[in-house]
Amino acid sequence: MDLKRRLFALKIKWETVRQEFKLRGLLDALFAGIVYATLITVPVVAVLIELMLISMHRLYFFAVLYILAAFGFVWLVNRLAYVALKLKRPDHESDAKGLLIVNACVWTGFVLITGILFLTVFIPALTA
Amino acid sequence: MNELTNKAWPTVRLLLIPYLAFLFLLFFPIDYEIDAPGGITEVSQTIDIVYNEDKVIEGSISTTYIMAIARPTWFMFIAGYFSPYTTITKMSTTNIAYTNEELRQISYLDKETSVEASIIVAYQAAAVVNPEVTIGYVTKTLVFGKAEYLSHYDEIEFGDEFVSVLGDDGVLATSIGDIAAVTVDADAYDFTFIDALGATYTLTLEKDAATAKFGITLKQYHLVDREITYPLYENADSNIGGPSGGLLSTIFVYNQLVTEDITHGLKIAGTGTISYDGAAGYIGGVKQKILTAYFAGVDVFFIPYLDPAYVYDNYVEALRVCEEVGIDPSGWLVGVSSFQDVIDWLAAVED
Repeated sequence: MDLKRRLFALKIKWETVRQEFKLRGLLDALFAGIVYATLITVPVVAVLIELMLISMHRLYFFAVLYILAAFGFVWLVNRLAYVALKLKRPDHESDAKGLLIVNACVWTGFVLITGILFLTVFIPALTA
Repeated sequence: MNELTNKAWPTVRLLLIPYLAFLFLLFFPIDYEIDAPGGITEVSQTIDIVYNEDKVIEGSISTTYIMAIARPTWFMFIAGYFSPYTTITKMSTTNIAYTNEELRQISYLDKETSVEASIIVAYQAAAVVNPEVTIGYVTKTLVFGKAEYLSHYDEIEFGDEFVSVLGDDGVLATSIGDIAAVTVDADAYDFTFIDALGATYTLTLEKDAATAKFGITLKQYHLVDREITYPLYENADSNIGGPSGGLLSTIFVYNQLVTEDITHGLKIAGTGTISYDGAAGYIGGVKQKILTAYFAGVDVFFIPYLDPAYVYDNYVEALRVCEEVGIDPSGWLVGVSSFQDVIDWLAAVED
């Protein structure tokens, strides 16, 4: 019941944000977030890959760093998307920040599950 | 997007050149090679002998691989320079002529032919104590190297089988040793090959004006004749190339074919090539392999030990590495000169 109420509240929040920024504005902000977060994350990931290649004996350590970098990417995308929305309408009243935090949490959960799968299933299978 | 770009533009403009410079360090390759520690791989993951499947094997037999990075980026070069575990060398004049893909192909050819050698040696040894085991092989000459000046460079693949060359006065040479003798008078000769799919093709190869050579390196291999070999085996694809797993692959195959379990519950690893007569051969990347084995916590590590007086003998070098990085080699680092040495050492464990 509680979950149902929370989902309903989230839906209302989404509708309010959408009305205020329009779908096009939201997608534009998200796109900006993805572009700039990618520009920041690409060198970080490249550094991790290259360090891992010369330190394969620390594979799990680097796998954990990848997962942390993926968390960082998710949060950066949402943070930058929020900044872009705020720049579009500095006087906005809807809870865009709260909505993006929920979005970030969902993606973080997805990254976490994928990361755990890599640590416990894929890497042991590939290096067995 | 525009709002964010406008806001970030002063910072972007300031960081653009350092950013591009950093990307250059991260992506521009240079003509060096880096050897770094890798891991160990149980041979059972790649070779499957369809025999003795109920046999309980308490220990494990693993090959050791290192990360041999051809043409690293500047960033890797710098990171490797400061790492105590890596070795950086300038690319050899032979390797520098090849693309990374060609180096990979050569490495896999080495690995495939090494597995064939392991099967032959292990089956021959096992046949002495197990009459059910039979082995047959054929001898083939394969393309192992190509010089830049080789005519029809792209049409000849590594691993293609050399069949014959039509030499002076119509003499047909079919073995490596005869090629030079029958290709004296002319500048070009017809060479016949068989590709990986079994198709025969003939190409006219011209001698290079400067070196008077055709620019092709051929090497003779014994390959298993599956028709008369028992039991059958499967060799799975793997991402690991090179011939250095030969010795340990031989031990694994032998253990699958005999009644007793020669591992005695030990986590066995090692390195070394295998010759058709069962002799172990030198490998590269000794430092990284010793470190890899040490990090993996193996019980015993076999390494070629052929000449105590030779400063670059693998075992001698391994002892030097142990001293350099502060590892105690006693009890787990074992120098061997042949497959039989390993069998004898493991047999002594039981005693």
